[in-house]
Order: sequence, then structure tokens, then C-alpha cells
Amino acid sequence: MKRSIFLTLVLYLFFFSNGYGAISLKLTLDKPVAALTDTIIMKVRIDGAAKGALPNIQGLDSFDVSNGGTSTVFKMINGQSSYGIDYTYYLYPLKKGKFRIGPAVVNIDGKTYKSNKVTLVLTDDKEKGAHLERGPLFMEAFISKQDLYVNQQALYTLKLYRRVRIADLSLDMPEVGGLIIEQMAEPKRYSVTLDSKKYEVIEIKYILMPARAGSLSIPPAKMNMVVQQQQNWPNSFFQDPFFGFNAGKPVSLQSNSIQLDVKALPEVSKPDNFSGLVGAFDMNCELEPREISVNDSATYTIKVAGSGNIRQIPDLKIKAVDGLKMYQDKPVLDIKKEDERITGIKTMKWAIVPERSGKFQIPELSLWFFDPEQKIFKELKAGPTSIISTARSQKEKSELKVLPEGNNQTAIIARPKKNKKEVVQVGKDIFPIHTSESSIKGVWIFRYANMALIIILICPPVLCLGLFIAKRLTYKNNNSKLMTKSKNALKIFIKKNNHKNMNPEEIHNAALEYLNNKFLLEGGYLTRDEAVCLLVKRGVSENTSKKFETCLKEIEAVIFSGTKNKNLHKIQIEFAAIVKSIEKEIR
Amino acid sequence: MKQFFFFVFLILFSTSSVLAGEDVRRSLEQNFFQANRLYFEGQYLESLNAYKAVLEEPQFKSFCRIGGDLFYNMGNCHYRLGNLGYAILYYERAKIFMPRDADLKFNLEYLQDKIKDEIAYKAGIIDSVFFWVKALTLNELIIIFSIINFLFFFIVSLRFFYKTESIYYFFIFLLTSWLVSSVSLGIKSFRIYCDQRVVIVNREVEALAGPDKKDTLLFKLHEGAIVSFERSESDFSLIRLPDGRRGWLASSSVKFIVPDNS
Repeated sequence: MKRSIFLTLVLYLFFFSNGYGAISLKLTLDKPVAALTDTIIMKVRIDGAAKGALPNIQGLDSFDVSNGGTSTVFKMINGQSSYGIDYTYYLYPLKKGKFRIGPAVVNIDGKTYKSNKVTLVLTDDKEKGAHLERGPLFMEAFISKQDLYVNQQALYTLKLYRRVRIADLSLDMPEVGGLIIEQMAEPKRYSVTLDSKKYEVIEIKYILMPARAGSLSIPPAKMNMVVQQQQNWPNSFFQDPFFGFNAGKPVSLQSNSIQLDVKALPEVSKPDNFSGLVGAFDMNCELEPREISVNDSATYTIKVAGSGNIRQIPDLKIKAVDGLKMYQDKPVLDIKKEDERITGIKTMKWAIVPERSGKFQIPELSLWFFDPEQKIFKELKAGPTSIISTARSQKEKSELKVLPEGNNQTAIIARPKKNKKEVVQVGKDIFPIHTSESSIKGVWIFRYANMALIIILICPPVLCLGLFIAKRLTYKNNNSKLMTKSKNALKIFIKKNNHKNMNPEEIHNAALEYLNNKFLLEGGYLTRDEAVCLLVKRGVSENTSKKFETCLKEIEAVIFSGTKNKNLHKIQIEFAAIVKSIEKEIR
Repeated sequence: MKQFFFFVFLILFSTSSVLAGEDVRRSLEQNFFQANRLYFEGQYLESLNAYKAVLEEPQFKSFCRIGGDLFYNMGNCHYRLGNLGYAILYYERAKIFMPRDADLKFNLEYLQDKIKDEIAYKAGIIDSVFFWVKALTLNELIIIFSIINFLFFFIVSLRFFYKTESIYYFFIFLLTSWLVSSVSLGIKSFRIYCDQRVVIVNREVEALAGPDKKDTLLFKLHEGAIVSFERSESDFSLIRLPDGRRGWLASSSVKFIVPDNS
């Protein structure tokens, strides 16, 4: 916490103080003596200035220079603060010798300031081991062979030695005209000990193949990376690479250059039909089967295998033989990248079909290549190979006729296996006009299309809407009928109840029918308890409900006992009064 | 008695109109076959004129009543006559009516290779989502929609009386189909009736900064290029390329894929 407050204060003081102190320039190199393959770090410090123009440095004609960035420096010693800017440069030497670098000149507020001069001695790579010490990060290039023939393979190896943590590694391979460069397998990582120090090595291998004779120089390969610097914050989570707070310094390294002496192939002994192959090759041929029936097919295979410029293995051609048909397959080239060389096999196949019986000879095929180890041209030969064709027996012929078309065996015998080839587009043109009378038939269909379309699209929703309206109307009608029935319940009851000579069942039924009509009930009549419950539920007073129950009880007693009751008329009148009360009290 | 005369009149009238229609049909077919014959005889200009004569028949007064084959054949005639722009114009018109025709597809692709301008046409979101709209004609979409429309309202009507679970699921399925097909039909109709694409029919045209010959030359377009029309002023039309560049071209150098009378 204290540290962060201190840093904030310092930064505040630094950035908001606009004045300059006493300005001075200092030019330094990370080493006074270096090899041609080394990268020299040069720094120009401007003390007393918080900002300023880029310094102009003299004496850098013999170097490739790349900018390594700018950093600000703040120091506080015994209460006195000082600040400045560091400009970092990477120097890649172009030639050996003794060089004076500097002074660095910078213009600040109209005043010109100059730095000191430094001396740098650059030696040959070979001398380096004697008196130079390897740093924690360096790069070397090796070649397996410097004297080569045109098209001969050589192994070019780049090794990056490191004792520091690096990130964002990228490689710039040099491009050389007349040199084919092909990367081998993935880069290897391993450890070695040099000068009693353990180094992590990243090794990348390439195969080089010169395409022309002469002296070829492979310029240094460059590797760019970020070197992760150790922070003075012990056990801080900022040191965890996950958070990406580790300070990184961009570094660019270069390897040594390599000189190649490429010789042309000897013209004196060069055969006329030389294929251009350089390396070690072998060729073999195979015919399977060697004896076949007429119109059957045999497969003739030639394989050319070896290491060298295998992509240049030519497609071999067999001379035509009278009585033999030959169909060539597309040659197949199988390339393998081994640890230190490129090898491969080219397989060429022919389907050989004898047209008549007899003994035929497939002519010899030859292939010339140059062996750079023995420095001579060598010839590879395949064949000649004999093939015997026998006439098909009568039995086989008859079987051919009898067996159905779908039989696989027959298909194989009957039709000699032919080489399938891609359909080749020979010409291109538009397709012809359409002549069918149906082309203009659409007109007649369209004559009534609009009308039909309207009918088809409009009818379903209209019909659906009609059904919906009809259904709604029916529903309303039914409801109104029921409402009328409910309203007329009293009238119906009074009409029925007005008869003087009504028997008890009729009075009982008239009362319950009134309830059914009034409350739109369906099915049979209610029981006494159900009727009372319903009346109470519909807001009829308890007194009226009780009276209705009493009357029902009395009339039911008469019905079930079978006795004559002289008070029937009185009950009738009571019912009429109760029903009128119900009409008033009902909600 | 009056009714009898009325029926006799009705039968005679309908018979005569059918016979008249038959005559027109025969004449149309004759013109069409004549145009085909001229094409195969190598008289492409005459064949083209004969196809145009077929198009001028009153039955074809509406763009949508013309079959794609007529346009396709006219495109072939124009190609044979060396009019690449017109050939593409007629093939594009034919594509509206027969988008899946293999011959047309091949010929269009073949002609696309011959066009000088490389214009990248991007498919919009709607085209990607409703990918089937491009592959179907307007008529096919109408038929599909009509069937779904009928079934949908049938099931809606059925639901007024029977509210079973299976009818409910049918209803949901048909409702979704109805919505999708109606939107597809809407998109297709919009694409055809609001098609603002034009084809460059001149060998080379200059796109200017304004509707005046003196205006600055912005870029050049060649026959067969398809661009979008924005508006026209005097004898110039403002067009837009798919990459957003705009320019004024002579109106005579561009033709609408879907003509105005559609």
C-alpha cells in the first residue's frame, strides 16, 4: 500500500513537473567486443529531460539498426530526484573491424546536446569462442554441406539458445533467389550445457536445394521475441504470467550467414535423357499376374523411391506394343519428411490388356539420375517384362454368355478393367432454347388465375367467419330462450296452481318445476333439502326457504301417507305466496 | 319460352368465345414454333423478332403471364447475336419463373464468366432465413399458401365445434405453416413487384457524379452487370453497386429486370 502511494506520488511529480534540470546525454553499449553474429544493445540516456526528440546517432553505417523502444527513468537518492529517458537500439553488425559510434545528438528547446563516443570491436565468428562470452540468448545456423551440386539436398539448422524466459517468438527466414527452402518437421526443444551453463535449445530444420550453380550466400535468419524480465516483487501475483504484467523487452536476434558453393552437374558424361534427379534413387517393377486370358487385365507397377529432389521424378511412358492395350493410372507421389532428409516413392501403374493370345514383352524403361556422393550419373532400369496371354476356353466363353449381367465375376471377366479418368471439359456453350408447347401454355392457365386466386384465398376465411357468426348467434338465441323461460317461471306456476281440484302430486310437481324453470335446471326434480339449499344460495331469506320446506314436507306427507287432506287448497295458496316472496328476494 | 331462348343464346355465346380462344392459341403456337425454327436455322435476329411478336399478343400484356421459357429463348437469341447484357437481362427475367431450371442456371453461370465487372452480390438476412423463397416461383408459393390457407381455416372452423387435443396440435402446426407461407409469399411478391435491379445493356457505360455529361467520371461499368436503380432525372438514372458506390448512367443503357407493366 505504502509502495503504491509512493509510486503514485513519484509519477505525479514526474509527469507534472514541466521544467528541465541539467540535461546530459550518455551513449552506452552492452559490450565493447562482439562477434558478427551478435546483437549489440545500444542505449542513449538523456538525463534531466522528461521528453525530447529522437537522438541522431553517428557512426552506424556498418550496422543494421532497429529501434528497441523508449523507457523513462526516475531516481531519488538522498532526497534528490533525477529523471531521464532511455532510447534503446539493437545493432546488427554487417562487417568486422573497429568502429567509433557516436556522438548522439539531440535538440531540446532549441539547444543541441551531444553524448560521448564509444568504441566497438567486431570480430569473426570463429574468433568469438576464444575471447567472447556467450550471452543468455543467442542464435546459430548450421549447414550440413557447403559444397553442393545443383538440386542436391543440404540440411540447414537454426538453433536458438536461451537461458531467459521468452515469449512471442517469430522467425524471419531469409529469401535467396535460386534456393528452394523447405521446412522439415516441427521445431525440437531440448537442453544442452555450454560453458558450464544450461541452455534451452529450440531447433528448426530446413532442407535447402540450390536451383542454379554459383556462389550462394544465405543471409542471417532473424528471430524476434520478447524477453521477460524478472521483477523485484517477490511473491507478487503480478509475476504470474497469467496476468500478463511481467515486463517484457523486445529482442531481435540474428544467426550467422552461410556461404554455399553450388556446382553445376558435369556436362561431359550427362546422358541425353537425364531426368534432372539428384540424390539416391532406386526403381523396381512388378507385373501381376504374368499370365492372363485374352481381354483380361494385368497390373504393371513401377516404383521409383529415394531421397533427393523427388518432386522431379518424371512420369514414365511405356512404348506401345502391338496386341497390348495399356491404360495408365494417375501416378501417386508419397513424400516423407524424415529427420534430416526428404524421401519419397512415386508409384506408376498401368492396366495391361492383351487383345490376342501369345507372349508379349513390355519394353524396358530407364531413368537417369545424378549421385552427388559418387559424383556420377547412374541409370535405373525396369524390365523388360514378359506377359503371356492365353485364349479364353470355350467353357469360359459359354459362362460369359449364360451368367447374368449383374454377376460381379462376369462383369470383371467380360469387361477388362479400364483406367478411369476425369471427364475433361473440351468446350463450353449455352444450352439450347426450350421448344415445348408447354412453354406458352401458362398463358391459358393465367386467364382465370386472378379470379380463382381471390376465390381460393378469400373463401376459407369468409366461410370460417360465417360459421363463427352463426355460432355466436345460435348461442345468443339459446341464452335468450332460457332467460325467457326463467322470467316466465312464476307465470307458469301460477297458471298451473290456479286449478282448484289439483291433486297433491300436481301441487308438488308444480312447485319443483317452478324451481327448475326459475334456475334453468335440467333433469329431474330436486329433493326437499336440495331445493332449500338452492334457495338459500340464490339469496332467498331463511324464513321463506323454511316456509317452502314446510309446505313441501306437508304435501309430501299427504302424497306418501295416501291420506286425504282438506288443507290442500290452503297449501296451494301458501305455495303461491311463498313463490311470490322468492321472486322478490331472489338476486 | 323466354327461358329456352336465353339458354340457347348462352350456349352459342360460350361456344363462340371458346372457338375464338382456340384460334388465338393456335396462332400463338404457330408464332412460337416459327421462332424456334428460325433459331435452329441460325436466323437469330428473325427468331428474336418472332418471340417479341409472341410477347406482343394481348395474352402477354402482363409480365406475370409470360412463361419463363419465352424469356429464356430470347436470352439465347441475344447471346447468339452478341448482346451479352440483353442475354443476361432475359435470363434474369426467366429466372423469376423457373428458378430451378438447370439449362437456365448453366447459361447464366456461363454468361457470368464472360462479364467484365466483378461485382460481389451479398445475400441478406431475409434471403438466408427464407432460403426456399429463391428456389420457388410466385405461383408455387401461391399454391402452397392456398392449400395451407384452406387447411388452416378448416381446422379453425372445426375447433368451433370440436375442441380435442389432436385438433389443437393440428391448429398450432397449421398456424405456424400459415404464418411462414404467408411471409414467404409476401417476400416473393415484394421481390418481384418492387424489384429495382437493372442490367447494363451497353458495352461500356460511364458512371458520372451527376446527371450531366459534363460531370466527373466516377467509374465504368460493362454490359451484363446488375445494379440497383435508385431514381432517374432527365435522361440519367442513379444506380448503386452492392458495395455502396453510386453513379449516374444514361437511362438508355440500363433495363429493368422486371418491367414497369408488371
